[in-house]
Amino acid sequence: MRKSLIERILTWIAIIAISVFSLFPFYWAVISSLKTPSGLFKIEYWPHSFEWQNYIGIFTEQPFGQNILNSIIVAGSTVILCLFVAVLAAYSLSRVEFKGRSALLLTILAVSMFPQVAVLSGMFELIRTFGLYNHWGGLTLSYMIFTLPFTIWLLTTFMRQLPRELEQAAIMDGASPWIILTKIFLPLMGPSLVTTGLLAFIAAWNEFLFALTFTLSSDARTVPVAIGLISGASSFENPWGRIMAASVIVTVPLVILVLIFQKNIVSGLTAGAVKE
Amino acid sequence: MAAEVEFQQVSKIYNKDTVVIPGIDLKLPRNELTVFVGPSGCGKSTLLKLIAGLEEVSDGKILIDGKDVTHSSPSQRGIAMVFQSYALYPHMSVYENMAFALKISKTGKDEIDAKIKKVAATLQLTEYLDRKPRQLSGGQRQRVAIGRALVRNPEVFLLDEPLSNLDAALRVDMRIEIAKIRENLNATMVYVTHDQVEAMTLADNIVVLRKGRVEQMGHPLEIYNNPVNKFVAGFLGSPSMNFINFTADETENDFCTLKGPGVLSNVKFKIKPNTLKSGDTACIGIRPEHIDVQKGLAGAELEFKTYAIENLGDHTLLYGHVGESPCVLKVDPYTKYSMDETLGLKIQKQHYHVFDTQDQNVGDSANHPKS
Repeated sequence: MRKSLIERILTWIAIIAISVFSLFPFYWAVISSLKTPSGLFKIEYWPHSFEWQNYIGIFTEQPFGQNILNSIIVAGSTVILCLFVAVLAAYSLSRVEFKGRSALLLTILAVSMFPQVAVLSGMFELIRTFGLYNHWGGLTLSYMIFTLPFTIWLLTTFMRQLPRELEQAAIMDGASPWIILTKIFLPLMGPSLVTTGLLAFIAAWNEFLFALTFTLSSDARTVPVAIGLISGASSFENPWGRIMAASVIVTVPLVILVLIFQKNIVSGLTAGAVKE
Repeated sequence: MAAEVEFQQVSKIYNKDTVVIPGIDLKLPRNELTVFVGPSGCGKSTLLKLIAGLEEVSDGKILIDGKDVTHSSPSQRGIAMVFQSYALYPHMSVYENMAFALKISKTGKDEIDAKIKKVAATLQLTEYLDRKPRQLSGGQRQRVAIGRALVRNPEVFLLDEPLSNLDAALRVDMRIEIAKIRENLNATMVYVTHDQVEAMTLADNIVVLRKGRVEQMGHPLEIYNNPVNKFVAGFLGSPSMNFINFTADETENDFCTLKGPGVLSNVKFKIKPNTLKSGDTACIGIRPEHIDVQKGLAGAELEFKTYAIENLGDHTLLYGHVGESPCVLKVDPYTKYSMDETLGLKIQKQHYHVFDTQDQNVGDSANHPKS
């Protein structure tokens, strides 16, 4: 059915309004990062000159390169560890019959209901006991608390949709559970692994509270903490330009990752939603 | 080598109270194809999975070639299985699908290659070896599934409704193909289906199951011609056997005459001695093709009222009633019949069955042609 002119105009107004609402903050960060400290206080919607000093400054005057590297290590190791544990857990939760299976699944979901603050002090003790304070390993470990519940749930749901006869055929062929998991299930789970891995990566990449609490020195910090602690020459100056520049730099990798895996994410999130 | 499969008092109970198999004793002969048939929920697929080891027995023993395999893992039983959904590994090529089991059992590369090439040639799959399952048609997928089972050289070959996902024309082709494969195969085959044509054409033995119990086991024609009870009689044959209810009138030692609505004359039916008393309700079982139809009632035994006619080209089916019992007749397509016509019937004397109140066949089978 053809839409009338008014309907089409209204549709476009809605699209523009939503786009402005969601994209303007990021646009503002980009143009702010390209201004001089004094230029920041003029309201300009179009940049008139491009000043790169904020970008140079964060790398020369503080260990921002090291911070980015830390973030990559923490988020990367979180994804690897998390997917490894979640795949094994999902296999047993979806394919092995045992008592209390659904109770266990609910417990795992319940873990994600705790606010981070509630576990902060206990987690702090734990990490100190393991000798992981001020070390990226401490962050990787603590990030499991919020990445594992949803990865386990997503992968369990996905694995349940794999036909049972496929597994039975593999059993008849003499495959052990390990071979079934690695040779049959994992290759079929590509999209869902990418989706869950990416969500875990984003969660770890953006995490602030644990990262602030469990690190001490500036060269152990991850990016969100480093940005939060950027300070100016004096305590009266808030270096918005550099904060914006740093924010833009850390957003770019996520945007690139999402663009690369775009197709996988969509198919992963909707996999099995309809019968093929 | 083909092996004999034996169930000894095998039962299967789910969740402590859902009895699927109440306790079965069954011997599947070596190197023969046995078909399990029965309505859905009769336990035929469960029996197959018990042989495969995909389900554990609740009680009893399963022997393959005399060896107790009740607690062996599926791969130790020398069994291959073809699944209803084919269950091909979607990310592997046809070749890899067939090689999977052999690789796991650490067969040499050259041996794997030789085996696959040989099986692929018999199944006409040679040119598709590099394709993925999704690039194949339904019939080709089915052949890959069979091939995957064949390369393992199984002693026992299980097929779980293998043709039910194919369309009608392809099903006929595959049925003939399976029959051919079977001729060159030295294996005991167990085939589950609800399609009675597959059962009749492929089987050396048919096992008719109901509620986890064996109703009858035997050669297809034996079961077709001499069903032990009303359930088996009604299950095989299409259109299925007619059951005409009546009351036994006069009974002698091994004869009875019947009376009831629609009965025109005192025909004598032969029964096993002393199985029916005068006044017992019982029924006559007679297949649609074993009834002679005549216009008019002169000399007829039963009166038939037509209410629907289906002309199928090579024959015509007349649907109607004898008294209150529904009845189908298979007649030649050239005689014109009309709705609501009253016709006279004569039962062919070599082909009837008599069922007593317990639905057991008490007709004298000595009358019937032996298979």
